[in-house]
Amino acid sequence: LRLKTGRRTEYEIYWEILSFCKPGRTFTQIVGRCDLNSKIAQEYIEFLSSKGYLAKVPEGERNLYKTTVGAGEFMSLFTKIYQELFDNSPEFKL
Amino acid sequence: MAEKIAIKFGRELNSFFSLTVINVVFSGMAMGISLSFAIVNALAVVDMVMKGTIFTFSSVIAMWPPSQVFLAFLGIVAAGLSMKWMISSAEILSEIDEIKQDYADESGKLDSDGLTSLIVKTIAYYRGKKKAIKRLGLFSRIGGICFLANAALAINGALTPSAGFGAIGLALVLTSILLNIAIGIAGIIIPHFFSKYSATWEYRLNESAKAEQDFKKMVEGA
Repeated sequence: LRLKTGRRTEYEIYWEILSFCKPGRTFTQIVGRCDLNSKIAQEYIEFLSSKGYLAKVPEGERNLYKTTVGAGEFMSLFTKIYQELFDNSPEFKL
Repeated sequence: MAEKIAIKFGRELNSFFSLTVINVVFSGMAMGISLSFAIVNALAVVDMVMKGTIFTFSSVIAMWPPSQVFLAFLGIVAAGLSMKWMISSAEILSEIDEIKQDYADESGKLDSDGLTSLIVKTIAYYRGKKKAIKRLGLFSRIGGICFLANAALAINGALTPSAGFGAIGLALVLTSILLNIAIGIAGIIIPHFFSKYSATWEYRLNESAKAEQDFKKMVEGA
């Protein structure tokens, strides 16, 4: 699932990066999957790392970014709220 | 819970996809019919000019309504509006098709994160397409009114005592009137469903905006 940038809130982008990085991802993979340019992606990664939500893990010759246990609370809240706002609203039908 | 929401998401997605496809079909039909209508009437005007039966100011006024000039003009306006209607419809269709494909790819293995990602993507889609959906409603309504006006003119023309049609002519005129009425009604009804879609997603957008305060507190307090 790829997302277009410019239409998402910062929290939606945080969640998307954290969700994608659960198994550990390279910077290039994050840029590609989350449709971010390098500069913006770097800013997001630095912010999430500073909050302890993302950790840099060396693997061979490359570095992987991996979501930490500390991000769990934010991710659970985000998932709960977004699923509820969809579930609690009236369904669009033809 | 995620499974129940995923089913609801799929149903909504199919409804909206069907609506956009219907919309593209009707706008395409509208454009084709209005272009042919404009060309037929423009050719009739050219013919009258060649024969010298119009082109003085007074004779144009005397032919009103409905003169061939007016009908050609109406056809051109309707074609322009239909083109705008079709472009807006195609814009809306392109990305919803991507989301539908993503949903189909994940079908049967959609987990909680996958579902949330689809919801985020659809909210982002709605944020980006809000204006296009409003524009679409406007062009669709104006286009619908043009087609209903055209049907009214065609009915008026068919009912004049001088209009002598054979059986085939009458069938063609009736077909044209019915097509115009169908497209006119579609042009007016379709925006109603887009408004329903907008109301649904506007609610979700507002709820997500309210939730930002909670996210902010959590992230900035980390």
